[in-house]
Amino acid sequence: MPGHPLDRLSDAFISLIARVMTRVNPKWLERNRYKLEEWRLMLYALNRSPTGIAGLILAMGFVFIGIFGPYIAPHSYDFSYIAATGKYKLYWLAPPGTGGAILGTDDLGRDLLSQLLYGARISLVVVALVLPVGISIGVILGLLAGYYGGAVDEAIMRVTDIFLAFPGLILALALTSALTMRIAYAIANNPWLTSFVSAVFALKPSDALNIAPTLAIIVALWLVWWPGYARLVRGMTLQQKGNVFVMAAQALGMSSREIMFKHILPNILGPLLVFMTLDVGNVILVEAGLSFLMGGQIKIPEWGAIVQHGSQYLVNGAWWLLIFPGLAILLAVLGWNLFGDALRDILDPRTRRSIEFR
Amino acid sequence: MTNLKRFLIRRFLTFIPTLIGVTLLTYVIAFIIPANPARFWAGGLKARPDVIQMIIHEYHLNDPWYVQYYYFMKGILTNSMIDPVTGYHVMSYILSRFPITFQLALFGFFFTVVLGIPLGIISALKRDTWVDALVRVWSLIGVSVPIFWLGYIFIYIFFYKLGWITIAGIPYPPKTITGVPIIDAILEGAWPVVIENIKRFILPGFTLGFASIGVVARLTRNAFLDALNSDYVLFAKARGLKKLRVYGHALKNTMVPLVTVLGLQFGGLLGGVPITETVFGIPGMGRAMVQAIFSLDFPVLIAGTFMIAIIYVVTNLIVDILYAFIDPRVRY
Repeated sequence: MPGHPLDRLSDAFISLIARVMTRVNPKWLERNRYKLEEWRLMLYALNRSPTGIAGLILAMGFVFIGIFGPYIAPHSYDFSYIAATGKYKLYWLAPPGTGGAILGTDDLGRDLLSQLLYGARISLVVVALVLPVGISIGVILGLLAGYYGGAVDEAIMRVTDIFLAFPGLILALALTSALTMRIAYAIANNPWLTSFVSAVFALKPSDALNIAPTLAIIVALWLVWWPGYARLVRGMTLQQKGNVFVMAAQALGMSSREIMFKHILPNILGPLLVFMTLDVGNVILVEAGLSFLMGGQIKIPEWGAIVQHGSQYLVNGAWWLLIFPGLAILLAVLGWNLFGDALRDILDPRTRRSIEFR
Repeated sequence: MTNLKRFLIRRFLTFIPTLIGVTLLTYVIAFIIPANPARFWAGGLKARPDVIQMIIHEYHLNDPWYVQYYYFMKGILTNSMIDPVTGYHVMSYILSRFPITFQLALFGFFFTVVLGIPLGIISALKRDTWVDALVRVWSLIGVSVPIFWLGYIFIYIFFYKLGWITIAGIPYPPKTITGVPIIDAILEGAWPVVIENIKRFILPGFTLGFASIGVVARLTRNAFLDALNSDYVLFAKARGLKKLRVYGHALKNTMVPLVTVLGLQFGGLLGGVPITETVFGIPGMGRAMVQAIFSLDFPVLIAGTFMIAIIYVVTNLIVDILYAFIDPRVRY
């Protein structure tokens, strides 16, 4: 295998893992030597996939800005140049580069760059809250349906069919508007919830009520997200169920729960991981689409809502209010998609070989 | 064929719980919205009490939920229910908007097929070259682009800057045959109306189909490569068939997985319709449903989801039937 400049970095990373894990549990290295070696090969394969590297950089960039964006933003998300300086003519729809506003300002004189940086945090929180819950529901139901079969399978799959036949965006939108008021009441009535939510989203406590639509979107996406996973995991479970090791486990008298989670789940984790990576992008995209459709109802800097707001000023030639937020969404989603696409090739041993020996 | 008949009957029977489930789910969501629909439908804050009473009586709003659901579905299916917000018969309202959405999806589907399949074939023939890599990255960009953003960029360039397209109104031909404007216009030979329709729908269609182009290209590529690597292609080559004939054989087998994906993509296109219609101001079903959600117009919402669920199950059924025609190994 020809050398690659990044390979030494990968080696260092693998030995770091080995050292840390040995510190935690001295016997770990002994038991997982082969696993570690496989990881090293995976990293080598990743090094040879330029799109994968590009995706990883973009994806990590999204996570980084999602965490630290609000702290590196030049201004607060609700800071207005017009209110601060009184120069209405200068800062009303100011093009990029005008008097300190790197990406320009909107119709209220707010700094676009700061809004986008705060928006990254909102997107990241949405992804971090939607995926684990949605996937857990889907995986558990899929495992149950695939493993038990029969009436359980039939019941779970009928419900899944109903959700899949439902137009996802409409379902999520309807749920969002159904839940927004209730969530707003809950936030208003619980002071600790107010401070918690505004801290998580890095927004001012006075804006806590405006987060309610976003929280409603999160709950709505929980309900929209699981059916795809239920169907996927059911199919993979059916495949695994025929394997000898499952029969052996059954013959040994293991409980069904143990077989499902300790023997079937680890074997389907690879393809599942690829799906999850690609789905990070999907969540960002769907959430942006929903906040776009909600438009004026969303009063916090969500990327989709910023595009919707900016689109009203296209007539005034304010292209930056459209291009930059859309570009932010595109790059974040594209990063995860590129990375997931490379991951699919890397995790599949057949295609990994072809990358290694390229 | 008797088997096909039995298969169809079985499938139609499974439709029923799905459709009931979908409408019931919409109904439940609609009625957990913490608002008083009767007061809202009667005109909001200043609604007269007797009008509110009338609406409660008319729509059975004081009855238990299953009775309400029964009357809703009965009213929608027999088209006897009048929509409190728009004043039309609910089902007529949805059905009058369906052809426009269908036309939009047709345009999107056209781009998906016309660009996606050739791109996939080229990328398979030029496997592991820069062409292949480009198509791969392109297809990933396709599924990463927020379509509302793409739509506005197109509007900015082609409407504001160049003025090539129109973004208002739907050009209808003089007579109505199928209800779908462009098909009617072609049937009647009203060519100026056809061109107007193309100018109105070409960009929304492209925007809507943008994501599927890449998906279909990727799938065509992989399926075509699988076919090219199979034994019968080797045999055809060994027999000395011309290259194009060999590709023809392989292409026919590529169709099998492709039909599934195209069917699913058509359903997926309908899912993207609410956003595209909102951006381009097309008065179709998706936009009607989005507006219905914001204006607490539950009857339209339920009728709309009912329609979309029917389209979804019917496209799946058509895909299954097409299978039997394309792949002689599949028998029902």
